[in-house]
Amino acid sequence: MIEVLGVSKNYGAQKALDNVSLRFPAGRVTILAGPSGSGKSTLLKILNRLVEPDSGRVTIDGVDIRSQVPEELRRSLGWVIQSTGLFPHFTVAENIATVPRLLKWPAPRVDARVAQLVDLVRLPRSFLTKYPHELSGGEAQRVGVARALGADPPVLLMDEPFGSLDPQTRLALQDEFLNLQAQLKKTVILVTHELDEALKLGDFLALLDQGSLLAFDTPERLQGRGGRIETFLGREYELKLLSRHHPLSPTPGNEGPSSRDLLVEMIAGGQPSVLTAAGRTVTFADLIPKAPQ
Amino acid sequence: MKRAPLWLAPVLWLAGFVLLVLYLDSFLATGLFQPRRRLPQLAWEHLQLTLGAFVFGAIPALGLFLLQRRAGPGFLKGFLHRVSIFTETVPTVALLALLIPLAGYGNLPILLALGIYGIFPLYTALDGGFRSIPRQILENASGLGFNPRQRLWKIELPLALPVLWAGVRTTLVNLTAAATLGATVGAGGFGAPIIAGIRSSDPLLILQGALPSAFLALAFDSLSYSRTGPDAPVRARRLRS
Repeated sequence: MIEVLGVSKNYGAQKALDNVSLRFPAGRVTILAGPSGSGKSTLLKILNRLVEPDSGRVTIDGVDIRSQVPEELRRSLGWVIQSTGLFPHFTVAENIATVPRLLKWPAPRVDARVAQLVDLVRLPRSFLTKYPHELSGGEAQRVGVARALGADPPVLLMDEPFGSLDPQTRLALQDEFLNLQAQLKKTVILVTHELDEALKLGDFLALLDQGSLLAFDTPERLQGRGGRIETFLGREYELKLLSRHHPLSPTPGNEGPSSRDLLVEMIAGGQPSVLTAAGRTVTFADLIPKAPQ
Repeated sequence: MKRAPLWLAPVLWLAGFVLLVLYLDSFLATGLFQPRRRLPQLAWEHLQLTLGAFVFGAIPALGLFLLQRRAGPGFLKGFLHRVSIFTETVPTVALLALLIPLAGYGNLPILLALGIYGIFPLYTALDGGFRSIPRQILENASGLGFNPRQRLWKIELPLALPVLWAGVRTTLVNLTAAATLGATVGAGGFGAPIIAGIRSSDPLLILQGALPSAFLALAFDSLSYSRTGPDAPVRARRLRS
């Protein structure tokens, strides 16, 4: 578990982070959300020591991260940023092999791991010899995720990972990310400024504003808090929350249409019910999340 | 389509250069200029002058660049940049004349003058090459766990190389041409027949120095280091369009 304790950071006279404390739950996805300049990217970079805080500390499983050589710490924390971050002079295989090679794994083990990862992110093996400029944005970002998973780190740090993609590709990659996370159960800390993305991907939401932590909770428990939280979440927050509820999925998950999708269909059809492709009738009452979350 | 190997162009140019030197030497063997030397001898001297001057320029250029890298942005950086520009603006002929009292006649003043002349393009190539790397890639390298030394050798240097290499080539081409000025202060090389030809109004003699010098410059210009490196995308795109 990663714990941030009273971390502050100033850039000159500007406060980037002001006494922020929070715990990132292990095996879950925590979203760092906030407007630009809120300090969310700074906080992410403090976790892998790309930025050193002025005060406060960060511990991983109780151990202060400053007790480790920065490079070794970083190799244990997967790192994904927008798709521009692939090394242009490395092939796809070399990009994915980056961290295992830095860790000096023997070549056969590196090759096996690269093959495994390229399958995991569902790219054909023939891509291994391509260069980043030959990839589409979505393909490049899959390589980015595979590279971050290189040495199977328990933690993934992601800074706007789907930010530079077109909307369709972004939605598809978000779905793939959720499927991957259901298998891998990494501790994911993901920075985004888009609320829709935060609600789709996050188990927990940390709201940052002007360097201070406004709130940290599950998205469901953030509704109705009022004040600056409500201002940030916006007037349609309750509606957006419905996209996290999937009344047709037998187990909690994201399979099937969300309550929000179904509500749209009902309104469009002018009926308080909708007939799904599977022949099931969903009524308005089914759309409302029941269990307290 | 199978493409020609990288070494082919420089080897062909070099072969052309050698043949040209031998050919011109065969019918102008009794060179009219002083001291009398055969063309292959002058070719060897010219090569030594050019490469020697390159090293004389590369050392201070690298020093300036490392200083600037250490200093980071700010006053010193601008100052160092201006120093490197200044070395370019001094006319080489004037510099040669000024260096004679210090370095005397012969090869030393021309090596020094050409070395100074080479500082600016090499410094600019180093600076431009490293600055052409997107900041995000550097941050990504650090974020993934490259230490500063690994980052320099595995990420920065390969990515800076296309610009750096272009600068090296241009510098070699310029120095090859400028090295002919050495004859004015008694150094050897292809300058000797050119100066003698000017004095005796003999265009053939001038050509005897100028043509091989031009071929040598073209041989330097044809040096390339990689087809799959970071400039490969640019080339691939150029070929496709």
